[in-house]
Amino acid sequence: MTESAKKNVIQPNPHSIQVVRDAGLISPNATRRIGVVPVPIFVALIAIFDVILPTSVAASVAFNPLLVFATLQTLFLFGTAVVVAYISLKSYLSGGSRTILLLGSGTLAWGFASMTAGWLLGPPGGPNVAVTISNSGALFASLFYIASALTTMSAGSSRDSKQRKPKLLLAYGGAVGFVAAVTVFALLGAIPAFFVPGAGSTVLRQAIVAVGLFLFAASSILFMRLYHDSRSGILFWYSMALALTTIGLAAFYFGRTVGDPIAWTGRIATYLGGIYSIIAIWSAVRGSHDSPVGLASA
Amino acid sequence: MVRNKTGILELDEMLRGGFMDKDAVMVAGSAGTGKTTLALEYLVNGATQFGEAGIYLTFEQLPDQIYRDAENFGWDLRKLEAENKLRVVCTSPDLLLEAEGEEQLLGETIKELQPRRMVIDSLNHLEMYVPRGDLRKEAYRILMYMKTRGISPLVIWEAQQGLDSSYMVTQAGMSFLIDCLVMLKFVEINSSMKKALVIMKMRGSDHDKRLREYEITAHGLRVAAPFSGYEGIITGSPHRSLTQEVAGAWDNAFTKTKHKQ
Repeated sequence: MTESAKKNVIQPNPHSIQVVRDAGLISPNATRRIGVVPVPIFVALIAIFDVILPTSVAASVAFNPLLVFATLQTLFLFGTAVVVAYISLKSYLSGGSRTILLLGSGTLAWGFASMTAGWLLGPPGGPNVAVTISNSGALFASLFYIASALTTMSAGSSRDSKQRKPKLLLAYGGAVGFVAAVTVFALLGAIPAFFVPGAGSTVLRQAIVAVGLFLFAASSILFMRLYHDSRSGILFWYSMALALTTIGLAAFYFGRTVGDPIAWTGRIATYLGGIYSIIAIWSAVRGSHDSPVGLASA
Repeated sequence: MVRNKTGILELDEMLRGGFMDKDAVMVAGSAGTGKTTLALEYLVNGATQFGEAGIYLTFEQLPDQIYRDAENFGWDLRKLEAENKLRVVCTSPDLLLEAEGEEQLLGETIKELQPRRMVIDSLNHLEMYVPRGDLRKEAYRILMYMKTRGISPLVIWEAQQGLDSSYMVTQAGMSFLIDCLVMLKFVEINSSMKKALVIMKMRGSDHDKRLREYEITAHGLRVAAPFSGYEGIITGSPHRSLTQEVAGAWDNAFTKTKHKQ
């Protein structure tokens, strides 16, 4: 073939697909890099507050606008959880994946507990009731999440589609029912105290938060591991959402009192986690696998 | 309210108990969708399960073919005929279209059998013998003949289904004669052809509006679950709803990786 003929041959460009997929203003990779940034910032803020903030000062600067807090909890944690739980519900009913069922149940438990805690912070005895509900809900949700993450390594789908609805009702009903039961028992004073105003967290709360924190972190890492295999935007944003929730739980652990700067840092981290879970859904809307893939790796 | 059960459990559920008594029912669909099977099953179940005799009037097949095809589903039409529960009438459309044709052709059989059900397979054959404009008039005359004799007519209409899988039964201009319209059609879902059934219309009764998948099994028609999560099936361009698309992508993200491990 002559040189001029060679020039006329159109060679397939292995990078062309990547170019098309990156046609947005910011590439998915860049967006994800930006998405990671809040994690070290929140960790650093909690560490700094933990070092520089004496308990007396923390109590004096505590900020608890009850309506705002309840609204934020409802909007960013319950609202986002409902969206994720709904998509998981539809997904489970059509695909039968236990991973999705457990994930949806955990999300629902966490969102419902957060909202209930938000609205019960105000009444007398509220801080303990709210903290009990929130932390118990977090532990319960974390059990679902870790089970969900672990099933990605082994379990398959439920082939019997007739059993899916009862299982779904059991799992979602169980998630909501547990939080409702904890709420009732906490209001009745039937659960040992999690938080004593003036004295701070009890050992029980610290133990529960520690276990929840560990399980949330483990779930986040396991889902992130899956992301490294698939490069799925959904997995990235969802594991980041769990990471931010983990940071929020860590803030519970280190916080001196309800509404102090550490608590608010944690709350904002969890709210951002709620937003990240919606971004995960948005990734699904856009077709999920939006990572740049060249022909070579396709 | 008297209902004529088809004996096909899921279809009767869709019809809220069965076809309304003496309603003119049309089963429309393209070739191979199972119109004749549904109609025969309606007659056989009527005779064997509900004690209602029936007549199967066909312009299309010879009796031997019908007996043979029915046997494949386990229906012994000869036995039902011997028991005076069913009559298979194979004739030419022009005989039916003659003056008093329906009486000459069916009068004796109706007196003898006292049928409650009758199937005409199919109305399209009449088209060959009457001007287009007269088809509705003839169909009306035949349907009224049956109704006035206490018979619930079920007519078959072969509707064209183009490559885009869409067609309009009403184009035949007979929808006003019909009280209940059951439409059968092929749909392409996930690169495979499936059969879909929908009740397009049912005068004076509530009915299931959902499009449901069905299969022709060794025992007749079996109606399965609705095509949940799909839109545009009737118009011939089925696609999953946005929610289902998102749910599918959500599922893929968490389960696809599993398979790689």
